[in-house]
Amino acid sequence: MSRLIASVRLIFRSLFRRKSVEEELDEELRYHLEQQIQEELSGGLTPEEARYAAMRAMGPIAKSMEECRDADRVQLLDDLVRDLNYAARTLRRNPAFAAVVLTTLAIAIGAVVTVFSIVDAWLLKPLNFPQPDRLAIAFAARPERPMEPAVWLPYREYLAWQERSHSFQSLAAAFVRDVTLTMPAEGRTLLGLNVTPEFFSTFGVGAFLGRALSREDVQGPQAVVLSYGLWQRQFGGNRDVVGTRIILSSVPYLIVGVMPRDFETRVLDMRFELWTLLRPGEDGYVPGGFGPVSVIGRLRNGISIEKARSELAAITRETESAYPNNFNRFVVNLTSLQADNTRTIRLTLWTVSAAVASLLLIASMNVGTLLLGRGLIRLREAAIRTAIGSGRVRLIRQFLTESLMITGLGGIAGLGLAAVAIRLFVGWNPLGVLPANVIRLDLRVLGAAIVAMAVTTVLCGLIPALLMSNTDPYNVLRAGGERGATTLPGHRLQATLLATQMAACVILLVSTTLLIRTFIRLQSEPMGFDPNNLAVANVVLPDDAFDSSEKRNLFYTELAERIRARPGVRAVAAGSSQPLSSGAPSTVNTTAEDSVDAPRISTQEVTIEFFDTLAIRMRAGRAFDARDKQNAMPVVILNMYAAQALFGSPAGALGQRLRLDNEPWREVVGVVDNVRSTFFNTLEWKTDPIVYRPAAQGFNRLSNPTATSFGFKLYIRGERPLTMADLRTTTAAISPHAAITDLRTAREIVNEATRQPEFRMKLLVSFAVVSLFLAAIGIYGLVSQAVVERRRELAIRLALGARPSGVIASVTRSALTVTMIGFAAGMIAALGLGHAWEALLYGVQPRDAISFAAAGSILLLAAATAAFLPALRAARVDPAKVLRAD
Amino acid sequence: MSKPHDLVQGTLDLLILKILALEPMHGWAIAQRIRQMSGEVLQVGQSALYPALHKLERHGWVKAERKVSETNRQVKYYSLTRAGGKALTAETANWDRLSEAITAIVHTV
Repeated sequence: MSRLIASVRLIFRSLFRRKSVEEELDEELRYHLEQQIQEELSGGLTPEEARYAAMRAMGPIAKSMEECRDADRVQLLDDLVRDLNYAARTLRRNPAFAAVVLTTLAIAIGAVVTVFSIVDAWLLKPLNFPQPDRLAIAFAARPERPMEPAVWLPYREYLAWQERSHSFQSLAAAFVRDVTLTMPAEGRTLLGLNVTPEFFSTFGVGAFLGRALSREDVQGPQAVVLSYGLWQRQFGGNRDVVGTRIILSSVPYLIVGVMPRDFETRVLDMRFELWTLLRPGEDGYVPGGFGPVSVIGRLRNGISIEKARSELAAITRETESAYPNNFNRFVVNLTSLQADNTRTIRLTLWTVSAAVASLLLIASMNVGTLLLGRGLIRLREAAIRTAIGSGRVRLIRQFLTESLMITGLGGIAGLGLAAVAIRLFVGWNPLGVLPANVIRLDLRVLGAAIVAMAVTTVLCGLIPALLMSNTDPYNVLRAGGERGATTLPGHRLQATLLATQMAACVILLVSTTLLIRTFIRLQSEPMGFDPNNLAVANVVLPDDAFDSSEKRNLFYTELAERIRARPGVRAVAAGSSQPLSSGAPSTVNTTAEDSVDAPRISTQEVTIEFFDTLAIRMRAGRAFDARDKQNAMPVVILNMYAAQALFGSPAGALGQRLRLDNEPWREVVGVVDNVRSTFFNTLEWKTDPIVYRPAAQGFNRLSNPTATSFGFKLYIRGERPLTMADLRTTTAAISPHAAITDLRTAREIVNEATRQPEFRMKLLVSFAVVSLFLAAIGIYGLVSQAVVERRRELAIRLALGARPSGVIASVTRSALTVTMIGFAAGMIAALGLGHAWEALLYGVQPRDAISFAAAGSILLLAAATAAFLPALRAARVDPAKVLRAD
Repeated sequence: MSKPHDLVQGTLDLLILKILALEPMHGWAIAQRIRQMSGEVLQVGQSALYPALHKLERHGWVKAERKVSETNRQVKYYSLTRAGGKALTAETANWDRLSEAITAIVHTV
């Protein structure tokens, strides 16, 4: 017991009164030495001899001091405190060095932590449902892109699967629908999901208030369940709202419940604010019906996605072959629900993760090089300490403590940066969509930060420390001040670190230039229409007020006239599709008999001024005009692609006839240029065949049979586009029922389509800049260090008449060799990585020579600049001064 | 000279305890006293002495106080604690047994 108390007392004393303990120890030994000398003196020796004799009798002082501390056994803790103090002192003494190193690490660790928290929320953390890994979602895909949803499934597929599949515990169908909330609000458009009654039980989540939709709601009044967010925003979180009625797109709905706050059911990255029931019997949603749906299911225990997919595919092949116009041109695309939730951004997330990992590697190698550089300067000190008996382990420990401290400080700063960056990211939302899981700094992220710091410590501390302690003090001391540039193993390690850093930098630079070129290609590709000075508004006409094509056309004509009268407006037109989307497909027959192989081609209804307003060039024949009235001969205009596909050539198409679905014959009167459109969520423009019909011969709803209103796009060309308020006033003056729900420029729509590649490019540019800067610092440090180490030698050379250029060459040689090796390695690695980039590129080959050349020259230029700056200084020194100073 | 070859491991502790049982003294004096009392046979360098002293202090067998020495300097004086007294008795008994045993072996022909 007394022993324990004594130990505790000593530990406390050595921690909190460290100074006095050290002093006591010192004092005690000094007293001992003095007494010893006194005695030797009295033995008749001279003072000098007495001192030596006493020292001999005492043995190595440093060692015995350390042994005394060892005896105190608080050594470890004590050493840690001392080493930390020492490290802090060295950092304080060299604030520029500290600032560079800490900033580097803070940025790198901050970036890693931020990206991890984002990736974690998207890809790693399970979705917020019971057993979320068993939730899967199905679409139809084209055989050449089986993993990319291409179209919705027909309702009849859902019915067949539900009847015959054994892979699922529960299967639900869901389809997206836009609704306009007119009571209690003023024409707000909300995105809703129209679902089958099995939907909520498939997710296994109940309502927060009231109840979820169930089978009973199929009969009786239409029911709706609100999202927590909508309930808060629109109804102020009022609990009495359950049981009241709202009007959605002119239909009254009974609110039966509110879902919990974290209940988010996304389809194709879309978020929904309310859920309504898909009522069997609605248009298309009948047995054998073609109504579009996605199918969401909960897999039975132990059934894999692959197994379920092949089962569904087999059922589909069988049932579909019974239908003409069947769906077997498509394949079943079944993925986990979480994977579906990240469709638009998965590539971006992986790109960013790879970039941020290489940034961390580069940064820690950079810090390692800098620490090692400084360590080499301190090598003499280390050698002396080893020679006078300071333990080797102590040296390693001290070096490690120093790098731990640096990483620790950098890591804490990095976490701070990450906390800010996460907020900025959520606020700015550069990806255009946020994950269902909240992005935040939690324990998982903290764990990732600790891993990042551990990697950094090992790279920038442990390896150099081991190496340093292995150096033979004899060699170091003998080499004295005239250490050659490559005689010490530390230099080799430093060079290796720097070369690796260079290689990583080259890879990052190459990928950045590839992405820049991709983005330029995406931006500069001719769209087939002019997206500049073009505004696009979404106009919604409820069916009960506008129940015929004539009424809709009349409304448009009136609206167009009023808008055309506004100053700054040059042209106005209307069409059924928005820019970059091809329109809903119709079956196109060119023969009198319905053909089984008849292609399905996108169709659009457009007004007379459409091609003029969008600046789509006529290639043959005429545009629509006043002749193309309701009762006149039905006509169409084809784009080049459709003309080629259907009739062999644009000219050959003129005067030909075709039938769309069950319509009467139409004559082709003109051919226009192709316009570009986008695939869902893939990085490329595509060209689709398109058939244009004149709006005057039918301005009707094509898709979404459940909708109760008709929407069209209003195109306004002019330098000063109207504001939303302008447009609403103008519309309201014509009809109080019509609503404007969206107003954007065509440029915004195009930019939206290239948002992911743009974001990827910008992010990679910033990472590349940082890593290039770090590599330059590394080179700069290496040369500066050579200059310091070889100061005397260089001065002598200059004094003996060496030319400054020779001096510059001799100090930069090793740095440039390192650069070239890293450069070559990086280029080879980048060439090898080719395929990994393919999915990110458009219009650029993964081994694009221009990108490689640009990346290479940027790196070489930066490295050369960084090497020559300190070398120039070395060549300008005054040899006399340097030599006298020694 | 860094290790006292002529001291059996552990016996230095015993010697220090024994000497401190007589009167409190500082490190240097302890070394001198050991030398004198052993008839100049045992020499203890500071590199062995101070770690031993610190170890005994940690065991709670000796305690250190700062006092003014005969040469008018602030010096650490070590003295035996009660626990140290008990330890001395136990160690002495140990030593007796050990030395008897060794003697018995060494003198066996």
